[in-house]
Amino acid sequence: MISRPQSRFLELDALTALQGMRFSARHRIEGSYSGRHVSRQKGGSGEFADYREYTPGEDLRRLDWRVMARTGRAYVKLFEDETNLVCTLAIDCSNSMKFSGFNRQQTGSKIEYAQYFTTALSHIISYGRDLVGLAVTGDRLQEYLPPGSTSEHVARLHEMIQNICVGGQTNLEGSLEQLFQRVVGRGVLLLISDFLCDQLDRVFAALRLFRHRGWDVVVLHLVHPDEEQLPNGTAFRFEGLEGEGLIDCSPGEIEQLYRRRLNEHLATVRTLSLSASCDYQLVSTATPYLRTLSGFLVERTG
Amino acid sequence: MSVLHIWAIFAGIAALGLPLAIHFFTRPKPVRLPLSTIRFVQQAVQQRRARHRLRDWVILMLRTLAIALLALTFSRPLFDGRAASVVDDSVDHHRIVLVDVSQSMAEIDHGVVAMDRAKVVAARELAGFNKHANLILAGAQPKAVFDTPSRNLKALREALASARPQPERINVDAALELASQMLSRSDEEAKLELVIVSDFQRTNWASAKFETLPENCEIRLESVAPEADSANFGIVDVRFGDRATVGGLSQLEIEIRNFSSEPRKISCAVELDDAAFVVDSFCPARDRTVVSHPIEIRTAGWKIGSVQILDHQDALREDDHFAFALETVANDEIKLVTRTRSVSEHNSDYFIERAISPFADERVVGEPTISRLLPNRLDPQSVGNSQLLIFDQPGKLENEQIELMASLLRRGRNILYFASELIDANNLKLLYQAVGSDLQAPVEFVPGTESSVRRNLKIATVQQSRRPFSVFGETVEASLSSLQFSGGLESRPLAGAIEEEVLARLSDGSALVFISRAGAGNLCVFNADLNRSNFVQHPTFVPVLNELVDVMLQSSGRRQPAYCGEPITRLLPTDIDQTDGLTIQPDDVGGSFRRSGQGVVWSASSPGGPGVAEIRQSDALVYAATIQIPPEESDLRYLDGEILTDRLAGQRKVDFHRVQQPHATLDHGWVWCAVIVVMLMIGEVVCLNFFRV
Repeated sequence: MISRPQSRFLELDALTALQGMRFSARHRIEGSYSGRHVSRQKGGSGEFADYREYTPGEDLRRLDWRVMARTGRAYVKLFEDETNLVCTLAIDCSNSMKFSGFNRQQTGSKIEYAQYFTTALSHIISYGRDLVGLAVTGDRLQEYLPPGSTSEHVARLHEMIQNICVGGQTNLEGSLEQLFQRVVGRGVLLLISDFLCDQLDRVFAALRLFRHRGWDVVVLHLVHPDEEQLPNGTAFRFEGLEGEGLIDCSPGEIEQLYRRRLNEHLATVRTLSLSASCDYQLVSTATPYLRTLSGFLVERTG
Repeated sequence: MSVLHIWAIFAGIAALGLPLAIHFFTRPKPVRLPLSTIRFVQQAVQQRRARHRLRDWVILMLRTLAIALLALTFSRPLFDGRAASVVDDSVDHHRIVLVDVSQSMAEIDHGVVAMDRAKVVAARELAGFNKHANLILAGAQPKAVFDTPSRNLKALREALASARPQPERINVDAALELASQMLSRSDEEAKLELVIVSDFQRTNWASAKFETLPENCEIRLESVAPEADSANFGIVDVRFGDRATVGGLSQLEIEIRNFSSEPRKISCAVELDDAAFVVDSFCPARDRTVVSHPIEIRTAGWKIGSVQILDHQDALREDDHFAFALETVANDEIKLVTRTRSVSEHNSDYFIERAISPFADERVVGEPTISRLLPNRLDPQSVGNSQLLIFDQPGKLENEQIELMASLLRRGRNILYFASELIDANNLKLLYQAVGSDLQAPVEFVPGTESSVRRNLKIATVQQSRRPFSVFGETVEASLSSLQFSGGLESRPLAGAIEEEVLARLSDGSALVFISRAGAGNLCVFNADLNRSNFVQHPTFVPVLNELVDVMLQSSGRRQPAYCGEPITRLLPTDIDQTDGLTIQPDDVGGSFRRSGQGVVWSASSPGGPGVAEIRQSDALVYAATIQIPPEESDLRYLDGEILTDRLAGQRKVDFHRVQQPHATLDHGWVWCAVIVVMLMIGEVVCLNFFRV
């Protein structure tokens, strides 16, 4: 058993208050083991849920003989079993995620926020004996760790989160398609990204793949406060983080137009999320990640 | 359209680039920042650019137009309504533009200098003209830019731009002659044109002759004179009213001419050596006034001073200041040249000597001293600094002595010659020849014949208002009636004689006395044998003789005026016999020194000025000359176009045009330009509000 140093993004003291909270999916989920989450499968144990007409080939032991004697027609019983949560955390590590605002200390970037958040969330999930996996996306699926629940698995997951290197352009749709081909079964996909890419509709088309397979998709849209408000001054030369080039401008002259464009983008992501039946939450990195996490868990506590 | 101030156009061109230069050099250096949402910034900039491109172009156009019109406003455009002349390309065309650069062209009318108007007109004649042209700047000595008409219009425009009014008068004849020579050398098939741009001042142009120009030459006169004659005052002369001698009070006279139609009170500030004072005078309209002020003469030599009219704004400022140089002497020295060796109470020389210097043994300050000189001792050393030589019975004078007398006359000395003997006729004849054209004597003397014995002749006519006879006032006839003259010479008038110079005639028609200018000096001839006349015993002898002496001595302090731009030649005083160490100040006066048989001569072909030319030898001031503006340049009266086209043009067809004045209706262009500039600025504000900036 390999002993791994604790991740610097794991603040156990701060997470003590949240360990009593459980992350649960809003929709029915599929899990390997019997846990507290509501399973999509209606198996032989658990509470009786409903009848369904028998189809040839099904297991005859599930046939309800009493209903058949009574009605002369064949029906099977459906039960609601409780199973484990399988959650995959997808983190966007494209260059745009390293934006940390206009201060010179280069702290408080979006990727750091995502690292703190996903480290804390994965700890909460594993604490509830649920399974958590990791996908690092960028211009491609850079890293994938299938869901697991052992402490060693979680430690490795934390280490992967800590070692994330941002780089490349945002290619979420390609990354998600690659992830979709690797995952099995159903679960919860939590995608944390700034969604600064050109083909948003393709991104959400990839997310619909997960939804069609029965996955729950939660979209966390990260925004830095300095993205919402351009700096004060007369002359700036802005440099794109993903090779968009340079542009000189005076922020005061374009402030209104810029904010309109940004708000349109935020609205577009929200609309596409909801139309794809994904849970959507806009997160500002100005909000402490623990507050965001607690609010997130409160909404989804089972 | 033409402009008065072309510099404003160039300033406007610079001004158009100035905002760009300021923007370029003062724009803040952009701060480089990384931004993840740069795509939205790019979209915003593009959207703004598309929206505001029209606004920016409109604003740029309005501002550029405003600056251009502002430059045009300052350049004072002139719209004289004349269409540009059409040049036929198939025919060679030679155009001479003659611009008057005399002092009167510095006249200011409604804030505009006549020379500026002339430059605009001349520039219009050269602009767009692609044939042969030349420019003559006409002053005292007209000068052409090129020897022949040229296509190098750029050089002509540059010469025109640098032209300034000169403190000279225009030599119209020389200017027309120069233009005529250039046009005459042109091809026969070429179209010839002469454009004269001037104020056509009456004093200069009244005798212009256009007949010297080629017959096929078109003549156009462009007048830049104001519509009405301008009011002007000018100082035309400063002098001592009497002979300025050490120890006495002399009257400094300042002659001012009022060329306006209204009388004015004038104050003048005078500086002379250490003295400075202000004199006031009242100048009648269109008249001259002589203001005098007593000056105590403490030392002999050259005095440099200046006069400035105070607090007066007239049309020509340059003639309000006059720098002058005047000479003062210790005592007037008179030489009595006579062959009489001993002093005899019965001889005329005795009476002459006593009449001039009654106290022979005493030297009275301010009174002239007289000493005798034998004719055979007459030479430059014995003459010394004597201002007056009196010849009485000198006998036959040798050629050397005649030449010396002529030289002395040219240098400003005076000669009073008592013609009593037959030999005096020959002496005077030789003297006339020696002086040459510098002397315009009214009469010549000829020995009488045996049949025409001159005896007991009475004075027939006398000029009562002139010295020496004006001293008698209204009693002149009674005073002179008993005079009888005998001896002397017969006289006959000379061609071109000025009768007024003969101050008195005898009953036989011969001249008794005349005074004529001879070079810088004066020659006075008294035609009588004093020993045989009753003049020396007559009460009028002393006053008449002293008046004559006084007139001669006074005029010896005067010099021929020297004018800016005109050649000057001066014989330096006799005590200057070497050219070594001689310098001229200031430098723009120029000139050179040479030795001649008559002494050291200073000559300058075109002295600068106005001011005082100082000639120094080893830093000591030995001679000074006043270089002044010709007084006629102060008379700002102009010829009518009709006089130029009808009377002066003769048989030639001359086209006269008066340039519109700045205050005329056609020159409200600058006002409209200023109005449009204001409207453009308002338009810019409206445009900015419309685009909500």
